[in-house]
Amino acid sequence: MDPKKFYIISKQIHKLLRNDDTINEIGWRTIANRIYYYLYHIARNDLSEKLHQDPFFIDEGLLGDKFSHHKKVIRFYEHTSNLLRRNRYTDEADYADENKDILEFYLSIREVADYNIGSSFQSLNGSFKNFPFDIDNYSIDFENPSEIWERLLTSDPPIAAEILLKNNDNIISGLKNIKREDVIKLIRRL
Amino acid sequence: MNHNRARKVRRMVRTQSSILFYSQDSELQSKLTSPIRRAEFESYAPSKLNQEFIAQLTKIAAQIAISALYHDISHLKSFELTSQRTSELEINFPQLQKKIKEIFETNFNIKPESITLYKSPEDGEERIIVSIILGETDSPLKKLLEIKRKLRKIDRDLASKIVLMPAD
Repeated sequence: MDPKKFYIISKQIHKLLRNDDTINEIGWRTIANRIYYYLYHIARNDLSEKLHQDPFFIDEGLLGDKFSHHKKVIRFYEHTSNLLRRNRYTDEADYADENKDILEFYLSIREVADYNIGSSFQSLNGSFKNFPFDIDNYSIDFENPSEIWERLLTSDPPIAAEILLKNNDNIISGLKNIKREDVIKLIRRL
Repeated sequence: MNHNRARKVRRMVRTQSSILFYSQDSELQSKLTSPIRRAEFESYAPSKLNQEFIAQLTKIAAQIAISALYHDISHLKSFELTSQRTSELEINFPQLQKKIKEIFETNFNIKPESITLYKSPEDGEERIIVSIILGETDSPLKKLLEIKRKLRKIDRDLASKIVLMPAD
């Protein structure tokens, strides 16, 4: 399936919200969730394709296994940044940092959307402190998102996808200067 | 059994021990005490820990999970234990908060609306969420990334711990 479909469905939900304000909050929370997976799959598919090609020739099975969880793609960017920086490819390392930032940003929004739903348990203490999942007191107004938040969840995601792909190109260019064994080692350790 | 495997077993045993310790189910406790002690001991003596025993341990872990489903969650406090463990980031948070405030005010002329220590509900990973007012912009994401890029140049280590969020 094309990862863009995650974005397409989020746009359909956005349209629905215009006609039915009773689903506003759950609608925005669902959009936040879909957007994260749209970006994760875009980044992951592109990385897998590039790392499978010349000069890396990394096994599809290994890439499929290692990138099967979204956190591992984030970790890949983090470790790749360190590896590139150690080898003095600082510009390329910055691109890896930026991709980590983009995914972590939308991941944090998704986690708040999925877990911090203002349940009765939460209101007992004013925070999730005593809940097994300690989400502290950060919250987002999904019921009435501001214009800024609407943009972040509607018009910004394709921009984020474009940046992720462009940065991937630069990261891969940097990795081409690193020993293939070191790149494989990095992926195996994810 | 290799070193990694022994480490995995010890981690599994530690998790189970804390579940056992915090569980108020006496039947579960009696069922688990002996194998957990044995595993703890034998994971340090790898040659004795065979496949069969690992399978047994895995089965016990599944039993704990099933048992937990049938119990009031307040009886199972290992999660709470995990969230209460004080991390390095948590210890340093007051100083970091001060540092973040200073950096933003000095370099960006921005006063953060909030600085929150956030723990992922999925894996406990910690991040510092810094909320700032972005003002008029066509792309809040681009603006946030721009600030983050500058922040990385000022203090890369600190920047890696921060997630910037709009406060408006």
